[in-house]
Amino acid sequence: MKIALPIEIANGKQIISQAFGRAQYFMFYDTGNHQSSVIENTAAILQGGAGIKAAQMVIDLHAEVLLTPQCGENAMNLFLQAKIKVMKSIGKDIKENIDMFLNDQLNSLDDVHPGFHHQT
Amino acid sequence: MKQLLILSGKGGTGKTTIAGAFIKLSSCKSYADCDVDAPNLHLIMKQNSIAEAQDFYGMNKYEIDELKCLGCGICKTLCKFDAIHKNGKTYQIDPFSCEGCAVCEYFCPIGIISPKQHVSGELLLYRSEALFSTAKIKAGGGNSGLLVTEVKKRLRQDNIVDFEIIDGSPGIGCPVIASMSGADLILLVTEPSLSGISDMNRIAITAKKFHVPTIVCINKTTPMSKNVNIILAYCAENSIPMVGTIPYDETVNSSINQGLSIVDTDCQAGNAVRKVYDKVRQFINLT
Amino acid sequence: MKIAFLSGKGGTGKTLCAVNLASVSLKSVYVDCDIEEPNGHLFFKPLQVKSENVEVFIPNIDKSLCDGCRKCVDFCRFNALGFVQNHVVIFPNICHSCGGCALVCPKHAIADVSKIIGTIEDGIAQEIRVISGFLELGQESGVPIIKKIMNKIMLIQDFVLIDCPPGSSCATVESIQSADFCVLVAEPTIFGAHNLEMVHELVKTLQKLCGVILNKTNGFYDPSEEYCHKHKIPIMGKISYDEMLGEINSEALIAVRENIKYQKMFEEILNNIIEEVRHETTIDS
Repeated sequence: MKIALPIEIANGKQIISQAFGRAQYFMFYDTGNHQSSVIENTAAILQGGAGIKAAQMVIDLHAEVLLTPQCGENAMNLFLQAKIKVMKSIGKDIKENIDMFLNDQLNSLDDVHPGFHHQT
Repeated sequence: MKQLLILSGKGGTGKTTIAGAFIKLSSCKSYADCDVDAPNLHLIMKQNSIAEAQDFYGMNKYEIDELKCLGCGICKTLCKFDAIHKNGKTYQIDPFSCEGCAVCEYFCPIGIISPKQHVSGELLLYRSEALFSTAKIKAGGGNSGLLVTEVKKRLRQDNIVDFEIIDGSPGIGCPVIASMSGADLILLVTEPSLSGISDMNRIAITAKKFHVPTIVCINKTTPMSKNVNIILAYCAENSIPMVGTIPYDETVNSSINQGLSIVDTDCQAGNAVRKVYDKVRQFINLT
Repeated sequence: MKIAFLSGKGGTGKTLCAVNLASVSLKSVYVDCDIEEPNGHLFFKPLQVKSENVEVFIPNIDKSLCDGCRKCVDFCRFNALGFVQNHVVIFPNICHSCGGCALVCPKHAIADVSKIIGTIEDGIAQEIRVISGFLELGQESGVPIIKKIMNKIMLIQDFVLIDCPPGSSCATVESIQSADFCVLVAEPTIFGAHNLEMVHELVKTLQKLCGVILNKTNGFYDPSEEYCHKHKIPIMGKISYDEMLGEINSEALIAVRENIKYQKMFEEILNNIIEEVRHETTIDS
């Protein structure tokens, strides 16, 4: 199964990003072969609809689960339709969160905000 | 690290004056002015350095190469924003009205409409004793949520502080929502007028949706203000803590005009602001 | 004659001036374009209010015609379309209603449906027609509401006073397009002068005649007045800071109807504005 996480690099270390649509990167972790890949989030610089485009990328790359501290209602709409599980991450440690998810210790992300709707 | 966001539904309630006072009282090393339509914080937080300026690009605008334009007018017919006008035999795009949808570019039969990078604002970053991030959107600019996000992002560059103060935008729109991201506490500054109350309500609803704890203070009260009670009742009914009132004080203007914060002088408003500040600190420690 | 009232930011007294000047005119139309925070109607309390919705078009996809080519998703500059489980998902809240997706769809599978983004209320308060725009909470752009209001008032010959949104955004630009004269309201602080400068630059760019009302003056040094003298902007009036006026205004009462001294003050300002417009238009012709 593929797990996606929004990540950023702080002090040379990869950690979970507090932003979703404008996260610097997304990590895709494969639970089968324990490989992970990190992809630049091209949605981050968009004027508007960053959450939607970031969600689209996660969907197009066939993630089945997303671990994130938050996401907007537009992105969540896409995840619901794509039947992708969205779980609320805790703290910033990537490995910890993946382990917690695999041990059923994370809750699903229920409180979704109306989104930041950046425009010109 | 805790982030305090200061908002007012309505403009003119004294949000920036209070933000300036709080910055002084807390010796805050990291603050931002997110009122990108009308930034004012730099006028009272005098900076010792020159700002690092960076252009902010909004949506591309589109441009017709008039030398090659055949005057077919298809672009004008398709433009939903009335942004294309005839100019003699050819057509011209009005950058104020252009929203950058690219329909004209797509459908121009001879492909002579192209995107043009449009500087819609300017980001400014001051580094002296504190890191101060601000920006200004150009006249005629649209909603500036992304610029607000950029202003806040620049505070994070190389900065590890324990307290950040954000002077937010007035209104309830997208720039306000953008400024709420990452805030631990919102201080809503209102004034005792019916319009102030109406606007406070609109913003409190917006803040609630974002699950950011909100507290209120009332600024520019006078002995005649009857509306203070209405505001108190509203806060009680909606479980919003009220952390103090600040009286209208005619000396405030002269302090501001001299570039001084109201807590630099001994005045009624300044003393009241100190008390509000103490209460706000208590609340922020609880978040 | 159409007069627009602007200020760099809210709270300077735009509405105070527009509302009271409308009230001392014989017959006028007050137009509230501050659609995020409309306040004028609180003062006038208009009756016989007719309300109309303002709609914009958002796309609707006919699934039976859609073949999943994603051309619409890729075209949209506002990223208002997604693609999941072989169908297109629309996000009306960031759609700019440009119609592009419908135009690029090779299967003609996209049609327009309408979405309400706000309302316009049109009523009467004594001799004054009161038109107010309201943007629905959560909507991003109110420009279509202002455009509709501007269409409504285009042919009106009476005295029209346009209460603009604060600042110099596209909504403000839309509100002043048809104005014959712009009144800039400014406070006597360095904030006030700075904001006055911003909005003055806007009206100069749009080549509009303008004048200033200095509000909440206190007899001390006024940086906004200094700005006016420096840039030769005519001053239409000075309103002193007055606790009673502030209180009346905060109760949403119309000052000129509460006390004769305010009536006289605003009558004088009104005359100055009319004189100035006449004077400027005579010079140009």
